[in-house]
Amino acid sequence: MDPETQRIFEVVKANVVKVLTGLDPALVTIERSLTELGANSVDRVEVVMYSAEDLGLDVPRAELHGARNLADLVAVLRRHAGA
Amino acid sequence: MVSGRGFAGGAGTGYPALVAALRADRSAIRVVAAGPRVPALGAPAEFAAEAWWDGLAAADPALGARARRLLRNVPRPALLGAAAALEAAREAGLPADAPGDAGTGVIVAGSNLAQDWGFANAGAVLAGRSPNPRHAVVYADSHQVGAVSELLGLRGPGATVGAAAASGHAALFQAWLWLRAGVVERCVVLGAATGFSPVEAEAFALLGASSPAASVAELGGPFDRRHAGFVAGEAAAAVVLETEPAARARGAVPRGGLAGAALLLGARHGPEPDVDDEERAMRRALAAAGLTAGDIDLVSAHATGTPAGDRAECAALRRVFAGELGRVRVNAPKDLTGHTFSSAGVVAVLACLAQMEGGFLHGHAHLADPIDEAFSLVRRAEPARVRAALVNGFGFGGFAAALVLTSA
Repeated sequence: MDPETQRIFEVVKANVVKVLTGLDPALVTIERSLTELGANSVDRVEVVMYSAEDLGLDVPRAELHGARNLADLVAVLRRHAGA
Repeated sequence: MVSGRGFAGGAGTGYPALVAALRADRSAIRVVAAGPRVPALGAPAEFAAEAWWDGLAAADPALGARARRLLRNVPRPALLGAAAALEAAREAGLPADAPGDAGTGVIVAGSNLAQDWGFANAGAVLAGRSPNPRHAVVYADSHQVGAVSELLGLRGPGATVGAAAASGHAALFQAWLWLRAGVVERCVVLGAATGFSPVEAEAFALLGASSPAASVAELGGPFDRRHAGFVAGEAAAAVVLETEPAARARGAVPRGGLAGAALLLGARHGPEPDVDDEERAMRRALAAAGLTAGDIDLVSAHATGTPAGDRAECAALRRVFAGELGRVRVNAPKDLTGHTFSSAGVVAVLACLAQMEGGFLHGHAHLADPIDEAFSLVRRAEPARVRAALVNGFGFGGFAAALVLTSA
């Protein structure tokens, strides 16, 4: 994982752990999906929204609908971060 | 009968905190705002979610984790409600429902419970930001019902029942009907805390319904000649109601009984109290309980501290109790808790159960000069035997309600 992807993944991971309280952070790996980790539809929106906010990004919701796992989410965020 | 009790409000977190405040005539009312457009006085709960979760987790890590997950990023009334409901369920020893069970009912008193949360989210949207991601779920009337159901593992019928300040009465009336109809053997009734926004605070002040007092010293409480409006209080209150046979079969300890209930409309929609309606509600609740005014030891008055409301209730009580007026004791829990709106009826029920079990009557902290000397108002807490109590509750929309409670 390149440093920029790693940086964005760490932001996402922190929000996954914040939203899914009690989740072991070690389980949050980039190939996992939020659903696998126990997130419901509201939890998923929270993770995306807080991550975009933390990164200072405004990401159209439509671009996130196809995301199948955290790697996809990180890729969308990275594209908007312009890196 | 009532088998479980829970409270989270201005008096503290936990039913014992409410009992202690009642025994000491300790008011939760204090200065909470600078005014002048919004009322200066309030009776807020000092509820710390982290400490509550940690306390739950210390005794039961799985429960603590479930509560933290379920009640993170939700309106404050949902947190207080969950704390009260969980306490009541634990006291009752209420088991979670298995999928094949008839199920335990869940009724939440009050329907528009998160006004302050909505106000904050409106502000975000007006400023061009997204609303809270949970808003679509937690703004709904169903949120607290669902949260209590999930927290306690209950799978029976559920509903919110609203009647403004008489919501607690309406919810208990509904639960009483469910039990009598055999729909459920037990039901959690949660009087939800009401989270007013500055909009409601200003609107009540505009109507002259809330007290303009700038300090506690200036405040005239319910039935006091200086009364000039209610003081908003924040509290969630819960009871577990069960049929006698079901409770006995489980070995549940009775804490008192809901012997009769009445909920009536007045063919008028506004805020004005109506002496005839209040009288009808009290008489009907007594009849439903198979009791007369002579059987009642204590009236827990609706008495919010508005001059029109207090006077109307006195007039209705004069009619119902007539020759018993000097004997029956009267107190107003809102003097100590503030007016907790949606939960007010359930708070008053808890207060009566506490007085029955503890052998005392609570007094008032903001009553110096009563508007009507004919009543036997409890001035300061005193020992007493309470076997039957009448609990009044009236709400905007023309609601008049009354409950009859009997000691265990």
